[in-house]
Amino acid sequence: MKKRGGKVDRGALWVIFSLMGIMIVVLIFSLIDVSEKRKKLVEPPPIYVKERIVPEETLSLPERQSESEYMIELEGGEKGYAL
Amino acid sequence: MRLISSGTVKFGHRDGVVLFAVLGVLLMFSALGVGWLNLGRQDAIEVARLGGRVSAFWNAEAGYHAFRAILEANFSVGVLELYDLADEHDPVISAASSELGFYDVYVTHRATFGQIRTYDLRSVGRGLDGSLMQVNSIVRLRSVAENVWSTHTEGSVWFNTGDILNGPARTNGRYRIRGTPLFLGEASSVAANYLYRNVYGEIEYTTDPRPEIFTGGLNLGDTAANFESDTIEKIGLIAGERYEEVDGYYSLTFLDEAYALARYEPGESSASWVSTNLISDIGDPDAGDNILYFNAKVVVRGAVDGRVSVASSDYIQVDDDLVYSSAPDPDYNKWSDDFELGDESLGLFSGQGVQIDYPDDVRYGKDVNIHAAVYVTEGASGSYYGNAGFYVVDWRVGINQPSINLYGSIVQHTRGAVGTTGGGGYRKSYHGDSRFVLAPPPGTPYDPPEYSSWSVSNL
Repeated sequence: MKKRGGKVDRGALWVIFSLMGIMIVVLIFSLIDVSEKRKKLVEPPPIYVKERIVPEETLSLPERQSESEYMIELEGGEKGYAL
Repeated sequence: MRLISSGTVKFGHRDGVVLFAVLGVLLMFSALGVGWLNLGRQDAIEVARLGGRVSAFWNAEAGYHAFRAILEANFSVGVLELYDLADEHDPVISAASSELGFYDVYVTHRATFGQIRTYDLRSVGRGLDGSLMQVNSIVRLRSVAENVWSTHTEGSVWFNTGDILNGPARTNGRYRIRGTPLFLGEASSVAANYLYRNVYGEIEYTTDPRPEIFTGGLNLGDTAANFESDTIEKIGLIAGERYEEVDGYYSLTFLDEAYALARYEPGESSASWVSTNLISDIGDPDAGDNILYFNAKVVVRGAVDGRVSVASSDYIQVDDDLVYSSAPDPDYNKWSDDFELGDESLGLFSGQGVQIDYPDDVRYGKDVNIHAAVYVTEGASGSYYGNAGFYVVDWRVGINQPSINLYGSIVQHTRGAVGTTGGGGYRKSYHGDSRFVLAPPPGTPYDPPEYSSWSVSNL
């Protein structure tokens, strides 16, 4: 009887600890699930804003140049600037 | 006796104690587990509630930005007025998503100061859980004529000693400065620097604020202004009088409260058709339709007593002084400091160019006097500074360099040339008209709207 009783107790303990193990696993997974849902909820939707077009002359930046690059031919063949 | 001495009850009792102790621990763990699960659930509910509010806010914000982007892409004269005509309770734009919720954007007229209109912009966002948030802003429309000088591109045209701009100036391009021209109002440009011809005759890119030139301050790296090529056609749609395409050109003379209109066939020196009418009969200046629209070139001069605009899909030519009747002198530089103009205003809006062509005067040093808001959307195809924007037909001709005295504003997509450093053409003396802030000429286009006072509220 002593032996048989011991066997019964060990069996019950296996069942109990197995259940506990399952519960802990379920608990961990549910906590992970909650934290993932939380992350998803606070992400903002994307926003698209149209860019303005600026003229090309504002984008290029050549180095310092001699003024002849900017001069044009005036009346009488002289060189100068358009104003 | 056998039963009693077997000890089964004794051992069974001990086993029972262990079993109950384990069951007790199990219960405690279970209770703890349930507690954690409940905490997790509560947390999830809180997060969902917060998430609902956050998504409602972002939906409202998305609606606000969507409205701005749509208005920026489609902005034209009167687009907000059209929105304003809609029922106050009908959203002007809406969007819904099964994953994010929806937004509704409402626009209502707030106030009008002169011709400046302000609107209330409300964007209501709703999260999936029904949370509501609202983003509020005020939209203000500015007339382009508020600045004395606006260009999309400065091209290869320079400012020189003797040029004076009295009022705010701006460009989407880059200023080119030679000598010491005077910018008495703030000068803004999209470019982060300007071109300057230094004393060694070199051209340098600089950010030097040079207060002797930029007296009113220099603002580099400004945001770009909008220049649209179809503005003139839109002005044409609201014009009170329309004149269709002809082979020749029209000639328009303002005679104070009246105007004389003539049509010339190509190569003919006498008019083939003449008509005289009152400015007040063209339309209602308060409604903004007091506009003469031509699908042909028109040559203008005279004295204007009234609020009127001349628009042309072709060139507008000025061949003699074009001034306000109440002005004591055609040259605004001769007005006394305390002089105030009447309520006259003139707009010159062209799709090709506004050209100055005084017969022979540039050779004899006669000044040009214009009182108007000039607006040129585009140059002709293959255009350059010699045939586009606000320009002088004989910009290379002459040596005396008289002055263009313009009281009003010049807005041009492509800057035109009015003179040369060799003494040809004219120098610039441009003065802003402060009345244009509140009352620009009829049909004057607006800048893209300004947004102010962003705020968010719960509903």
